[in-house]
This record gives sequence, structure tokens and C-alpha cells, in this order.
Amino acid sequence: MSRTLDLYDREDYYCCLQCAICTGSCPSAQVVHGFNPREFILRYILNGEQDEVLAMESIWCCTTCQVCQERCPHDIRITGLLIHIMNLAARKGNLPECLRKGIKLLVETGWFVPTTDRSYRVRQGLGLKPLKRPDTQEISEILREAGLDEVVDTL
Amino acid sequence: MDHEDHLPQEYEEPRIGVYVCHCGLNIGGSLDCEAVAMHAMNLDNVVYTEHQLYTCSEPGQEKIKKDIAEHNLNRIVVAACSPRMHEPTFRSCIKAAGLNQYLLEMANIREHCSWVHLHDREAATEKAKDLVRMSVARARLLEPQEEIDIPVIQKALVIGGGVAGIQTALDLADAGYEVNLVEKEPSIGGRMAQIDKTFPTMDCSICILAPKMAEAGRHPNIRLMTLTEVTSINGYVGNFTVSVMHNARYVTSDCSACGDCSNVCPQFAPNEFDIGLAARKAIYLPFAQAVPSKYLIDMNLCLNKDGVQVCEKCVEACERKCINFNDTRSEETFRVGTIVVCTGVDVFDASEIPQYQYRRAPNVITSLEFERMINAGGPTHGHLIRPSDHRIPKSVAFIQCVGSRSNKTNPYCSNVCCMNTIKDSLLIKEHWPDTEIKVFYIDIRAFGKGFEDLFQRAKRLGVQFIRGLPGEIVQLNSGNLRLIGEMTLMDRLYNMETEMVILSIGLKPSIGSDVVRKFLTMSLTSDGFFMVAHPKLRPVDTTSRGVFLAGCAEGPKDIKESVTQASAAAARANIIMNRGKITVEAITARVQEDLCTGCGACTKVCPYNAIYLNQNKRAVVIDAACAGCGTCSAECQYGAIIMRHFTDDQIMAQIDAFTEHEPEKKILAFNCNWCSYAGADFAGIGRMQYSPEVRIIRTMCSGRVSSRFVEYAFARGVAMVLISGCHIGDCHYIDTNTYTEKRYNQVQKIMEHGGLDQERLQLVWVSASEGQIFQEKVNEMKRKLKNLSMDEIKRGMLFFGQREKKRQERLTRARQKLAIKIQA
Amino acid sequence: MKMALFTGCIIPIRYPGMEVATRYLARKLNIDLVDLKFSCCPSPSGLKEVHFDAWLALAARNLCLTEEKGLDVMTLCAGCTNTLRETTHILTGDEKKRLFVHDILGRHGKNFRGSMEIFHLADILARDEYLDRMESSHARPLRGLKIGTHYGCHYFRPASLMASMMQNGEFDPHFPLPETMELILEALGAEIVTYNRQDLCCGAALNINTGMADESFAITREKIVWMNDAGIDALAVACPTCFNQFDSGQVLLRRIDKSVRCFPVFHIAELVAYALGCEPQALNLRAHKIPISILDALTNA
Repeated sequence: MSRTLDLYDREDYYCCLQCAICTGSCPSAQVVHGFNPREFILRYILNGEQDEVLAMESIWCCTTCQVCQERCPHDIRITGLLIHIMNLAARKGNLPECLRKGIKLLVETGWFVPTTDRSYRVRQGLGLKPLKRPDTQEISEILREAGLDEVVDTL
Repeated sequence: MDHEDHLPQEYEEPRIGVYVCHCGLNIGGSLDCEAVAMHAMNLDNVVYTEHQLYTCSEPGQEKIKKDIAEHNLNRIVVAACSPRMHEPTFRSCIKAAGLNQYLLEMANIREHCSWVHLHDREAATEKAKDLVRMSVARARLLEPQEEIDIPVIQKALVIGGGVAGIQTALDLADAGYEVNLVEKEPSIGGRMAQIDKTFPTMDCSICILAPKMAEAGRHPNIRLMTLTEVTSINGYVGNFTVSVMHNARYVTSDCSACGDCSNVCPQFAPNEFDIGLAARKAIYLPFAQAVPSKYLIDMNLCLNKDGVQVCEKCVEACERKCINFNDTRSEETFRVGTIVVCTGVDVFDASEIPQYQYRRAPNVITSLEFERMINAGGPTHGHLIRPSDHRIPKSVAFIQCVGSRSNKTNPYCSNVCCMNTIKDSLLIKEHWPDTEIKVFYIDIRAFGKGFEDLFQRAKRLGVQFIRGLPGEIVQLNSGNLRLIGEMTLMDRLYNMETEMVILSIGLKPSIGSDVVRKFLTMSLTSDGFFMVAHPKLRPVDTTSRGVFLAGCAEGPKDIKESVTQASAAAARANIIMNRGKITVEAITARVQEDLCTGCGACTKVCPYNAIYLNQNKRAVVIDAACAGCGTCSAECQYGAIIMRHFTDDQIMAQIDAFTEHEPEKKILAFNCNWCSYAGADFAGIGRMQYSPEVRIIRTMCSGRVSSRFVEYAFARGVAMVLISGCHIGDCHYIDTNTYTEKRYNQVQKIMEHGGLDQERLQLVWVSASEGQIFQEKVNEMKRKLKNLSMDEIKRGMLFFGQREKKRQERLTRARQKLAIKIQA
Repeated sequence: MKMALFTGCIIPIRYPGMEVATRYLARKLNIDLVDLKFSCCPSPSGLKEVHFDAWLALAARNLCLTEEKGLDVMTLCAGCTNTLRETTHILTGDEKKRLFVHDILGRHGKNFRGSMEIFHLADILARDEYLDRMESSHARPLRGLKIGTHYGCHYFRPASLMASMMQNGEFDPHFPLPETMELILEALGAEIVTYNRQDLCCGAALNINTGMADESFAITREKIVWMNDAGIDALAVACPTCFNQFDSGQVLLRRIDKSVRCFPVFHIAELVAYALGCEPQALNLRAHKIPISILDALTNA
């Protein structure tokens, strides 16, 4: 599971000055009280409260807008850390239901959005070629080989 | 200036005394000192040995002096701690006994032996014996050296006329030296002239600066040159040749600063002194208290360009007829003995952080703009007003660390901004006590004398300090601003509206310093400011002897620190100039003219321009400029350059010494005096244990290590060679370690061609504090050594033996050719 | 100019009008679009947050499809652009990751080399040759239309990765926002209006990931308020997810506050196609929740 964090230099996180420019810029922090990038760095990295953070539901509120990362004075990969935390949390069963559903759909159809009869009809009406499923067999295999079963059943 | 060669000494048979120190239990506890002393007794030319408890103690030193007289010793080897510790001690000791102080050699059997091989008495003892053998081999070849005196010009150059430059100039001038004070702006005063009040005293800045400026302007020993830039500097300590360019002022010295010209000038431009908040004319006085108090013309703005005169308003208005459109730039050259660099700082451009809306929102200003506004003589006559509507704001927000402490802007802390903001908030409260002031910070740094008091004063007046910088600033139609962020101490977000924002901007090195840097080969530290010789013990010296540093050129600091450094630099410069002469290092390069082919390879690598080709196409060394790194000698393919006190012969003799027995089990390490040797010492001090195979040879610089030494070592059967030096960019001799790396790569290629195991030669950069890196490297090499076959060793000996033979033949041929040429 | 068209999932399934727009403008501007059997990119919020390696592998698969044909990619969605570019960047820079994905793809007869480039539609259209062509086409200039742009975070962050293909590869810290849509819209005759917090996220991902709709639209509301404050007539976006967030977001906002002024939202492809002459019916602009009557007003003016 260190595979995601491999991408990110762990030492950088310790340089965090807790200046709060990240939280100050964060759209989700404005609207969700439990979501605070600065606090995640403090608790997860600096205080070592990893289990507690991984059990929090609010970690899923990150929109990956990356404004925190872009404005951080120390170039800390905050979004990267959040993604790592969410990845780890998912493996421990902390995964919102809508995401789980979305990913199952991806495995089954190759798309993240559900199709309806209406989608097909409107396309036809507009003179577009009909929707063609991508190779879902190959896709689900690739997802499985990459390890998605750790989180979501790919069969 | 060439070093006068001494007539060769009458050859005297070396009579070496060897002293092995127990250093209490530090050495004696881990190896058998007596055995080492006994071993030394059997070496050629050693006539006396002794092992002592504390050689550096007074009785220890007295014994050495006594033995020198009694046994007629003429070389001394002390096997004890690191020479970085006690070389000066023992040098003084033998000098007192009548020996030239360079006839001392130390074997480092403590930091490099007993302390790092605590648990292997036998191996440590054998290593100590080797180290002593090496030292004796070197001692045999040591020659007396003389430190000579060179004359020093008793004049100084001060570059930069801010408070640091002014203070240095005044101190030196008062001490009796002629000082050339060069300033590129039309007036001296620098940043301090722009500030309103100083912290923590709340003095009026220009009020306390102006008298100093005036004194600098009229001091009989100070030659003030404004609108002047340094264009080149050549030479060396005591003898610098400086060229400067005087830019045209277009106003003569008859100017009385009456201002009549300015009143009628039709051209306007933003005033630099007021950071564009006010306008000036094309003909202008930089600021009211300018020194010299003379107007000048900005020809880029003036309507009269390229000699075509269309406007004469100022000429007509000037009663004293001191406007001269025919003024031109002029160059001037003069000579000085010392230079003090005081080039100061510029400020960070806050528009690089667009989310703070600087230059987009009119009511977001910088702290420097605030200084000009709050100053009674400034563009708003001392009123803090919002640029959008000229009203006095009812609320103000300060944002700290703008352009500091950030990888994106400047990584360092700018030192003064916290106190500056505290002072500013007090000023605001003083005039408009009802103004709401909020300071958004990460840390408040109030570290100096009186600083904490000022901080408390601000808090007592109701200034609010909020920990948590805003993510962004949003501009409202009213001109007000919204700050969006988090109060980290309360785990609460804020979305505050304020009428004005003041960005506490950081400081960065002034642009002009880059020009100066190139001429003086000054190094920069990672923050972009000038590097000093030693950050703790030599804080105003640069690595170039005779060149000093003061003020913000060295790093952001407040006025008190700048003035302190300025006086310190003046004192240091005084030491150089006081006697009218200085003593030059004995460890310099010497060219054997009859062996020099004039290829010029040496001239390309010297960072001090201390070696050059004369009209006969022979290399010549300027002793006073030579720092003794030895890189020129290592580059010379013809063996024509001798490094005094660190000769090729001495180094080869050391290699010969330890390769007499089982070279295939040993690792030869070259360590440079300043970094990696100190790093190895540090490993010893930290008792970092490593394998005892390594034998260290000290050179002044890793650049001294020629490929010949490395090849010779392999030819003698050494298992592995480690070259170590300062990190690239940290070299004590600026950049000569880059040549070390080049040579390492060359030998690697040669080994590849010869089918040899390239891992037998390694390169590592070790700073003085990186003992662990040295330790790990040695242990790593030991692991590799275990797997080396005798076959590989023998192949290396054969391969490099042949190369050495070929090299000797080539050298002989070259010398024969030269000899013929010279005779002709 | 021949490119592989990467529609992503949302446009073909939910907003096929945008696909029509794209194909129309491509025809008009002589851009040859090739359809390949892409899957979901996958989205940079979504699978990436749940299983990074799976996200990487699936994205690499998409890139292999286009690499096999030797075609650069044109995307219509900020998210797709971000995923595909970041994947290329990671796999050409990190040896461990590359080998990991290489093994998986190899078993399916695919080999990723990262040689193709990925552009958003707006990046392509902002090139001088297309700006000139759009400027000289007089079918339906957008004159008088005061338009604001919202790029969507994934279009321009992180700057080190995303600015390389816009703004001539030089990221200027003074200007953190791209200007591709501005250039296009100005070429089409529209008047650009800037507004506060232009680089703020639309907030869609918050709803998609957690179902916290109210909070998600609260973020959107912040943007809409500033947009109205600046007085824009319409909003141009580069991403169908952002599109939905603003389109639906205004409907929700209006339910809370009836006095709020609503403005139509358009994907940049729709505006370009419209300006180049495509009929509104063909673009299925009726699918927009906020009526697009302003366009009619323009034509009639």
C-alpha cells in the first residue's frame, strides 16, 4: 500500500508550518466543518494519528481541486496526501456508498455514469452514432490486476 | 607578485622525533601507543621516539622542545589528535624551539583511528603504525617555509551607501583611512532613508540617519561617489584595482538644491523613492535629505534626447546655471587595499502572489509603501489613506510572510517583517486609535532586545494577532477587501472584511550585488545572499581575503545588526591595512619555469586568477592571491607546479609508506582539509565506528588530487581508493572540487578500458558535519573489498604500472624537448 | 489535423448536444476526429481517490488505444485532460509505476510509451490558425454577449503539468488562470467579464463523492454570487461536470432566493458551434436547465 505514497516525498510533509493557506483556500473546508487540509497534515503526519484520520468520513470531501497544493508555501503535496489517505481508508472499509456504486458501474460498464434508454434515444434523435460499450472484459481485468479488489469486488 | 625563491637549503639529513600521545585513555584505551612508538623507532631517519600521556600539555610540549635541542631533531611527528585541533599548538611549540614551524607533521590517530575503531585494538594499533609510517615518510620531505610580507594600500572601497556602507565608511575614515564610497543611486541612504520609524525605539529613521549621511558627505577622508557603479575589480588583498563608471548627472556641483528647475519641468514620472506613490519630474532631487543634495536629470524622461534640445525650461529657471546637457559618463580607476561590500536589499514583488491582489486591488499595499505614506514627508503627508478613495481606513489587516518562508518565493525568513508590522500597528494606533488592526501571521518573531516589549505594547493597544494566513483576498466594489482563511488556534474559518490590506513583504538580495559578486568571486548561500567565511566565527569576512561584507547584503537584518556588522567589517579591514603590510600564506603554488610548456591548463582552473602566463608563455603565480588549493598542480600534465608543503613527492611518499605491507587489504582515502577531513573528524568525535582498512591522506582541497596519485595507488596494489571533498557549491576554494569530479570520471573511464572493476574507485562529497556519510561510505567499501580477488588487484597493478611507466617516459621526452628549446 | 476524440462518459451519455457541437465545429474547422473505444478516463476525483493504481492502469489503457493509432488526443472535459496528462507524466517519470502498469497492460497486448500529447478542445481552438478562422467566420458572432469563463480546477491545476500545453508552455505566476477560452470567445466577438474568485472550484466532486448536495451547491453558490456581482450574461465552461453544477446549481439557488438573477451556462464547444452556424435545435440546447434565450436575443439584435 506504500505504492501511492511512493510518489510523494514524505519528508516534505514535516516542513508544514501550519500556516493554513491550504484550508483558507479550500472550497470544501468552507462548507464542511470536519474537512480541514491543515488539520489532516497535523494529525496524520505530524501527530501520527493515522488510524483516527483513516476512520473519518469527512476525508472524502476533497474535490481534488488542488488549490491547496498550488498555494502551499512549501509545495507540500496536500492533495496527494488526501488521495493517499482516501486510498488507505477505502481499503479499511471507509468508502462512501455513492463512490462504491460509481466504481462498480465503472467495472461493469466501463463508464462512471449510468446510461438510460433516454440517453440512447436522445443521441439517436441528434443524429449521433449509438453508444458503444468499451471492452468491459478487458477493463475489469485490468482493474482487477491493478488491485481494485482490495476495495471493490470486480467480478 | 612573485614569490622570491629561496636558495635551496643545504641538504640536511632528516632527524625525526616521533611523539605518540595517549590522550589519556582516548587513544591509549583503544590502541597500544607504546607499540606504535616502538614501531616508529625502527623507521629510517627516526632518531627519537616517545609515548606521552598528553603531548599537548605544557610538560608535553616542554619535552619536545628539550628533545629538539638535546637530540638535534629537525623534523617532528606528533601522533595524536586531528591536526585541525592542535597543529597550531605544536607549530608554535617547535617554532619556540628554533625550528621552522612547517617542519611539523601530525598523524591523526585519534579522530581517525582510536575513536572509530574502539573495539578492535589490534587493527587500530596496526592502522596507527601505518599512519605514523606515512607521517614519517612525509616528514622526511618537509621543507622549511617562509611566510612573506606584501605591502598593503591603506585605502578602502565601500560598495553601497546604505546605513551599513555609511557606517563602515565613517569608521574607516575616522580611523584615518581614505575611503571610496560608491553608490549607484543618486543619493546615499538606502532603505533606511525610506522608512518612517525604527523599531523598537520608534525613532524617526531619517532623523537619525541624516546626520550620518551628512558626515559621510563631508568627511575629509571619504570620497563619496554617487550615481556610480563598479565595473571591474582585479587584484588581490592589499592591492585591488577598481574601475567605476560615473553616470551622468547633468547637473553640476554648483547646484544649491533650490528646486526652481523642478517647478518648471513639464515631465512627470512615478517617484522611485516613494515607490510610485508620488510623482517626480525629469529633473529632480531623490528626496529632501539626499546626500549629495544635488538635483539630477532622468534623461529617459527628459524631452531632450540624443543631443537634440527642445526644452530649456530648467536651464532658464536655474540661477546658478548648473544644468549641463553635455554631461557624459566617465570611467575611473583607482587602487585600494580592502573592499567592503554593502549592497543591501530589494523588496519582494508581491504581484507574484496574484491571490493577494497586489496591483489589482488599489487598497492592497506593501509595507514599504506604508512607510512612505505614514512618513510626514511622504506623498500623503503622513496620512494613511486608501488609494481608491483617499479616505482613512477604519480597519486594516497586515499579512505576514508575503514573499518569505516559501519555496515559491524566498525560502528564508526576512527577519524584520514581524517587528516592522508591530511597529506599523503602533504608528497607526498612535494617530487613529479607533482603527481596527488585525495581523495575520504564522509565527511572530520578536527576538531582539526590546522586541518583546514592543509586541506587548501592540497587543495592549488592541491589535489583534490571528494565526492563519488568508488563502486569498477578494476585492469588493466598495474598495474593501475580504480575507478568507482559517484561525488555526480556534479551528474556525474566517471571512473578514477590511478596508485596507498591508502586505508585509520580504527582502531579497539587491540586483546590483550580482555584478559585484562576479568580480569578487563571492559565493552565495542557498538563500541567494552572500556567503561569509564562517557563519559563526568569521561573520563579516568573505572567503576572499581583504573583502568584507556588512549589512543586508549578507542576509536580511535590522538596522542595529547592519550597523554592528558595518563596524565589525571596518575593524577587520583595519587589521589588514593597519601595518601597511600583511603576511601571506606559505602554502602556495610555485612554478618550475624550466618545466613549464606554457599550455595554460593551470590558468583555466584557478578560481582566484592567481596564476597567469607571462610574456614568455610561462606560468607565474601571484602568491598573495594564491589560496593554496593545489588544483593547478593537479591539472599540470608536466609536473611543473609544486605545491609548497603539500608536494607530489610528499603525497607519493605517504602512499609508498602504507603500501609496503598488504596494500590489497587497504583503502586509500583523500580528504580535503575543510570539509571531508573535518567530516571524518566529526565521525570520530561522534564515535561512529567503521572498518579499519582506510588510510587518509590530507590535502588542502580535493582538487589537489591528481589522477596520477590515484593511478599510482592502484599500481602499488591498493584495493580501493576513495576521493572525498566538499559538496559541489560548498568548496572552500569556490569551485575547484568540480575538477576533482572531472578527474574521477576520467579515471573511471580509464578503468573501464582496462577491464578493471570501476567500483574500486569512489567519489563522495562529505561536509564537515557529515561524519555519518563518511562512516557509511567506508563500511560500504569494506563490504566490496571483501569480494575483491587478488587477481583483480594484480591486474590493476600491472595496468596502472604500465601507465605510470609510459607517463614517466612521456614526461622525460617533454622535458628534454623543453631543455633543448630553452638552450636555443 | 487529425486527432482522437476523447469524449469522456458524461458528454455522450448526458449531454450529447455537446458532442454534436464538437463534431460540427471540427467539420467546420477541418479537424479530423477519430473515435476510439475509450472507457471512462477515469475521473481524477472518483476512482483515483479510491484506488490510485487502478486509476493509473485504466488511464494508461486509454492512452495505449490512442498511441496505437499514433494520434494525439482532444478532450472535452477538464477532468479527462487532467487524468490523461498526469498519467503520462507519472508513467514517463516513475520507473516503478511504469513497470507496474507495463506488466498489466502487457498481458492485454498493450504497451504504453507516453508519446502522444493530450489537448483540451479549448487548447486547440486557442491556436492562432483557429482563432483567425473563427474570427473571420461571420455566421453568428457573439457580439454584445458579456461572458465569464470557468475553467474547472482540473483544467489548469497543477500548473506545472497543465500550463505546459497552454500559454506556450510558460507558466507565469502573475497569471494563474489560463486564457484559452477568453481568446476563443473574443475571436467570436464576445466581451469578456472577469469576476472574483474565478479560480475557485465548482464543488461538484463533493456531491459526487459523498452525496452532500447542499454543501456542494453552497460552494457553487459562492461562485454564482460573484458572477452576478460582475454582471455576466452567460458562463462558458470547459467541463460537463462543472456545467451541470452551475446549470442545476442556479435552479437550486433560485428555489432558495427567487430574486436571484440566472444566467445560462454553455460548454465552450456549444458556443463555438453556435457561432459558426450550427442550429440551436441541433445542439439540443433545450437540455440546459437555465434557458439559453440570451443567444436568441443576440441573433435577433
